[in-house]
Amino acid sequence: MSEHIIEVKGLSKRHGEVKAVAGADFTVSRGRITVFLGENGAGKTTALKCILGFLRPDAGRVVIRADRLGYVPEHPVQFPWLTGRDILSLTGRVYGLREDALPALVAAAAAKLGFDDTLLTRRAQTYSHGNQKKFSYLQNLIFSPDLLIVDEPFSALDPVSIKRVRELFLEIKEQGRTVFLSSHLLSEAEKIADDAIIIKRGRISFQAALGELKKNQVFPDPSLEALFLHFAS
Amino acid sequence: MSSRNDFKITVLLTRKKLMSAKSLYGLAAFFAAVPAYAWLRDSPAAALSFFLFLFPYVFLVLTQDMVRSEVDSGGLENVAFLRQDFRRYLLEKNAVIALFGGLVSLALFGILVTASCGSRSFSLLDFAQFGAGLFAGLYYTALAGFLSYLLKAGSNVLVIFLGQAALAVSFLLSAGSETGFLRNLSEGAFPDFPSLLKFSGLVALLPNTVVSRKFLPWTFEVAGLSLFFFWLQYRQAARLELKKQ
Repeated sequence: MSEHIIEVKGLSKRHGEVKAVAGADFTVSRGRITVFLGENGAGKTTALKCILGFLRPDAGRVVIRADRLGYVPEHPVQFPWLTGRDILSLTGRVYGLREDALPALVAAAAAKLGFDDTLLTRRAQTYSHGNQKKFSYLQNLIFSPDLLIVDEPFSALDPVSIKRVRELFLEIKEQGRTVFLSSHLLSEAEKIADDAIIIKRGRISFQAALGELKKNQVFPDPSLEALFLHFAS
Repeated sequence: MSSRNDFKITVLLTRKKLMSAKSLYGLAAFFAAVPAYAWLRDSPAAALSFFLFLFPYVFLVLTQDMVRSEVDSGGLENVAFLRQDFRRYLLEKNAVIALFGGLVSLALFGILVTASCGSRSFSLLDFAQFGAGLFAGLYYTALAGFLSYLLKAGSNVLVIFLGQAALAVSFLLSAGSETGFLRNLSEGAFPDFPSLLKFSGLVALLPNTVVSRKFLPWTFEVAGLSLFFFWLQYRQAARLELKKQ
């Protein structure tokens, strides 16, 4: 089994005249937490959407070596005609979960996220922003993805929920699974990240294991903020 | 994950969406009420004629808001549709809508046939007309489904209705003419190429025409056009990207 759960080679994507991603090359290691950083408009979300298959790359190759791929968008949107329970039942079907096992999985995930599961009978679109985000995590947790891709993991969440999500990422890593997240909240990302990838104007300007950087003292200040200021801006 | 399971998921999602659309209940009542009224005021034969002309519209109204709004809403950017699966889902919706439309139409046709068995006998032609109507319904699904990649909400259906309304107005305006297309139409004969072409255009805009006994062979045109618009949908889906609007 390859140590790289994601391999991106020569990825390019234009939005009209704008070259959002311009020949990006990077890898994401299995069983680690990797943060994907970049300024606004650097190409993070476009690269993520190409990896997820929502956008078609103009050039390049994306290889994902995960049986179960999870995704939490920055602003989750649910179909207005579905209740939370409908969506979880649908997700269970997509990932081949047994219907009788679903309630226990949902209850365990809801407790972990501090999500009020009485909301599940309501249409998911009516939830508050924070609850929609938690619900999106819940939808992913029930099928235990090998690789969880998260765009802005802490947006719309209160401090308690941010802590819970952070602990959740660490738990996923302990289980040998992988988290790949794109975030602007460097202070939170710093607490959990093993590896960092920085994108600047559509190209990868930095990729390294943070532990190695600290050990080898490659940079005088190997904090994410210092790396970001140096390689992203 | 089997393709059978995938299809079941598309059925589930589409059924939930259709059941949540309150306007469809009113339209369903309309489609049942018109033949019933014709039966009471006239005869079972009149009821059947009304039904055969109207039922392809069941397919059309089911396709309202089929693609664009779902894409623009961002609802497809979900774990349930990861790795290109949203394209399969959007294409499979055609089959699900055709299935639902077919079942509703078959049920209504069955009720009409059973209820009028005592008062009129049914020939093979009645069933051929019903079959032609199913093809017209399939064509509506293909055409409105394709338009739904380009137009938001129910505009895909509205555009078709507007085209048909314009057609009706043009017929009204030319009704005084002794010669010409309307006479060809009433005779079911098109002596020259321009009139043949005109009728072909009429069938493309109002496919319900093919349920008329004298126009049954034109079902082949409707079937051909259905394939063409399904192919166009396939092309659109293959190029589709999820960008929130």
